[in-house]
Amino acid sequence: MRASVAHDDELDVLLRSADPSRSFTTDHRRLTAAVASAGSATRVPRRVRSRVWVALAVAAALGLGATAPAVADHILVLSRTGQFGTAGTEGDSSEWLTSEGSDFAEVVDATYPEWLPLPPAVDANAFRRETVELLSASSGYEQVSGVEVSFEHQARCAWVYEWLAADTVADTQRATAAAAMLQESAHWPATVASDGGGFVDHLLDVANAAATGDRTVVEYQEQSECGAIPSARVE
Amino acid sequence: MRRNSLGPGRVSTAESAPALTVAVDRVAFGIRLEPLMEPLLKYFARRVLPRDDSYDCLSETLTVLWTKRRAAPADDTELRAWSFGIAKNVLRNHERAARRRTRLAEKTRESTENATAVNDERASRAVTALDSLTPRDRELVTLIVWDGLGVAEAGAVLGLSAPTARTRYSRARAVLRRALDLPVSQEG
Repeated sequence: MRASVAHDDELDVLLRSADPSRSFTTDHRRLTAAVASAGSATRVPRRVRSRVWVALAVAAALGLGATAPAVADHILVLSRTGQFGTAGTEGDSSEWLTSEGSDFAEVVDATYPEWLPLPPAVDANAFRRETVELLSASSGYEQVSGVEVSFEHQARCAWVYEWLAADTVADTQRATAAAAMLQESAHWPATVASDGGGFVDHLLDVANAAATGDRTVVEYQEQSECGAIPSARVE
Repeated sequence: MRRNSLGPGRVSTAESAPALTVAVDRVAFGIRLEPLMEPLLKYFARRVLPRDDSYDCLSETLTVLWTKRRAAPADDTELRAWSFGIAKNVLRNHERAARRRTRLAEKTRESTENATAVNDERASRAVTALDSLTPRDRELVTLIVWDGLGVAEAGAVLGLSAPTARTRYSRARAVLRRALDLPVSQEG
């Protein structure tokens, strides 16, 4: 029996040597972000999905359990929690918002980046309104930075649609402009700040594909990441 | 416009009770799931390419877990098997999506595969041996040896009864020993 155990040990050692996760190092920042992004109700970037329900461990880290009874004693719940940064994403000092706040939609709207460029055919007011509605519709916790990322993402999708529309009608000048904006969008501030590794590179790949006329890649981006904001869709 | 239970404007303490219940519920469920975060992440890291997608798969899994939390087993061991079962379904969806991916994904996958190719001779032999098993037996073995699940737990993930899982696991190990030129033990 002892020999059997030894053989079993040897078998297990061999099998474990083939474990693919041996070469995988957990990125705890991304792990936290993945936990925080769970429950996303909207089609936003897979790596930086921003609509957040309670972030499991993050919520615990925020001390929600301790503050919950206090919430019950108050008649008004505000979106701004007064909690900043490190509970969720290291290096991100932005404030945590709670969708339980009665002013959540207003706070989200106030976060809208006024500088965000949109294609000429997109109704900027409708785009802003629909995006705010979308972001306000989920429940949970969210950092301000996550809201900013979502706005940037939806605007980027508008440029994806713009490029696809231009390519469809072989409007080279318009497609070139859209590709240039996709390239620029990879460097938008919230996008860059939230990149846990590889996301900006991915966006640059898409932008390069657009610049070289590779419709398959741009279509894949549209199908996998866009579609939540009707007014962003340029025909 | 708002979907949270507090609704717009000022709310009374009584009206805030459902939101409070949900919040406490979430924290409690989160605390139960917290020990599973990294094991589930590694479950995906073992099975998806590019491995970066593991984080997305984990996020998807947590979303499903939250949605189905009312059906979550009270026992923590059963919760783990249940969670891995959901992860298995997320993995299948991911694989289906991966098959539809475009050249962009292919390019990423190729570079990842090159970076993580098995170059250890011993590991390579083990991979070959594992590949000699049926897909379900291979998954049973890897859930146990790589993911650290118990035999009955792994069986539950794959929809096998505990006795069936034990029998299949024992047979699979015998196959692996033969494939790896290890002496076949008396068990099974």
